[in-house]
Amino acid sequence: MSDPIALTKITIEQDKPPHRLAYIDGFEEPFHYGVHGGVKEFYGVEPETEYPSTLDHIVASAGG
Amino acid sequence: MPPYPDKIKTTVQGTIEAPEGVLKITKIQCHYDLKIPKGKREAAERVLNVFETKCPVAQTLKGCVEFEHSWTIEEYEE
Repeated sequence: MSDPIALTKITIEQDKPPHRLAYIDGFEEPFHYGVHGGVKEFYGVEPETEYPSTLDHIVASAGG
Repeated sequence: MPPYPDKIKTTVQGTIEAPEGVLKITKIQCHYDLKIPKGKREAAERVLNVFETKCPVAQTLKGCVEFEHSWTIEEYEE
């Protein structure tokens, strides 16, 4: 088996739920995850600040 | 078990390969560092063991990406 081409390392810190911060190795500023829209309603939470969900990020990634 | 403040930190490593000439995430290793009240270890491990089945992202990627979950638990007096 060959060596991997890349390893991506990320640290996730829990802020006040449902807000999380994702620190990607090599970048100082974190990405923010949270809930909004239908995901917010699904979980029945009302965050102080709305952020994109992890599912939004997957969909955005698929768009390039 | 309160997840905040300073009770959970996750370290994630994704392995990227090109098995068919296109970059692809083949494996994601998740390590959870948890701080929980003393006596709650069994409940915490019960949750951790079913985490993948309740995680929207893991369920989305299931079948395409191999997941590994591990954890370190530190108990504290309430």
